[in-house]
Amino acid sequence: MDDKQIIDLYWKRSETAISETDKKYGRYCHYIAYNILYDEEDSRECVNDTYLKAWEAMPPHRPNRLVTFLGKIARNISLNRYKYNNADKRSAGQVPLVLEELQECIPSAVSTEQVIDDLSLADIFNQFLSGLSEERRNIFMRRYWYLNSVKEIARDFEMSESKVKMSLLRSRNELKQLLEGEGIAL
Amino acid sequence: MKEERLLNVFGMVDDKYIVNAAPESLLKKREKKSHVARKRRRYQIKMLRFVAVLIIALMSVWFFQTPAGAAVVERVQEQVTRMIEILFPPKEITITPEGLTEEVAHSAQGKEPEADTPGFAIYVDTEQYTMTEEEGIFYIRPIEATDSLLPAIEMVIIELPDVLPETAAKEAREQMEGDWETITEIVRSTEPPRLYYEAYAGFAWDSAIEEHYFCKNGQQGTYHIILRYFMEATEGAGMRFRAMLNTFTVIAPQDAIDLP
Repeated sequence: MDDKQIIDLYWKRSETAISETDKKYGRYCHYIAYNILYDEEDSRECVNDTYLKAWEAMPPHRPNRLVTFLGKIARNISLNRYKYNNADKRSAGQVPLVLEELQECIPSAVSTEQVIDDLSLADIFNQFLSGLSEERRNIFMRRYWYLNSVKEIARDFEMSESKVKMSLLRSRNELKQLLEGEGIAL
Repeated sequence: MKEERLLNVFGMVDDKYIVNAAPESLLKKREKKSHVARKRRRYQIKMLRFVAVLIIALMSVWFFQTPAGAAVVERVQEQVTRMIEILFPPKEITITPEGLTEEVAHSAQGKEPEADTPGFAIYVDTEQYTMTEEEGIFYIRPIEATDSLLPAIEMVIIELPDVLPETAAKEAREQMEGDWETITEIVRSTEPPRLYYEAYAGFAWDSAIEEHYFCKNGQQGTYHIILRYFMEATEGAGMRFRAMLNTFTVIAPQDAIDLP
């Protein structure tokens, strides 16, 4: 079933919408959730919550792209669950490592002039991503959007882990330079 | 924490980056499948062509022995040795649609020059696209019909006999103002020499895009070439069109050769 038909099912309030979504994008949502939570049961719950959110949002919303609409919901829910589960400690999984790496992108206080909202910051991220080569962009996305481990990225892109790390390091430095160049404070 | 904010806001980046980076096994199965299917289809077409050529060759041997066949020989020769095919033999062009490098067979098509009017040649990926002429305007469109709800995918070649490229580009751009969300300024490139600008209906995955190119027709006129596709097809049809466009060549009347 194509995405338009699935969205139509949501709009008709047909419960088949959920089963069709699960059939087509269940694995994708689970993949996103599991990379964040590293827990099978929590991931399954987050995927179900994703479907519930989608059910609540459609109608009135009609997403341009169902896959990324679901992916973004799954990512948000899973990150919130992660925070709730680990309020006072840092657990296993990629999130603590990714957060540590992202500290390197934070502009130094001296160079910053303006605090911007999330949407404007997302625009800057888009600008940054558009300037990367396709390979570096996909590696960066796999690490910081999908929260893949370096090992998984190296396997999927058929390169050494050190090459992946180097690519990520360069990208983080470039992002930091871009933020500093724009005079942005977080 | 600031790094948490970065991680959260990073979740809001453009959809195309999210989809492009998704693991193949999760999302791109269908695309990959269609790539394999396309390769299989190309093989089938090649085989069919081979069988067809074989049958025609066998029939020709018999047919050309007859008086009627001999009369046809002259006309067939004329068709087969068309000027463009002589000047621009078929070739393979390397393109990288959606990150996958392909050697794609292209055949030259176009308009032959006449005594006082120029013509043109352009290499077309004839396995996936077809060129037609409608009232003097040439269209290159996908052979397989695209979704009618999506913006058009086509290349349009229009000859404007008495308008210089500068004027044609300025007028075309002015006519589009107000109808398009973004229109870039007219830019002049030297290699190849032409003027161009782009128009965007928006930045959603299905937003229409037009690329307009203007080059001299060898006289006092212009070839106006339009590439039409939509955002999602930038790396696919857009790239294939640009590969074809790069082969566009004006044939001046003096370059016409007499066919035997």
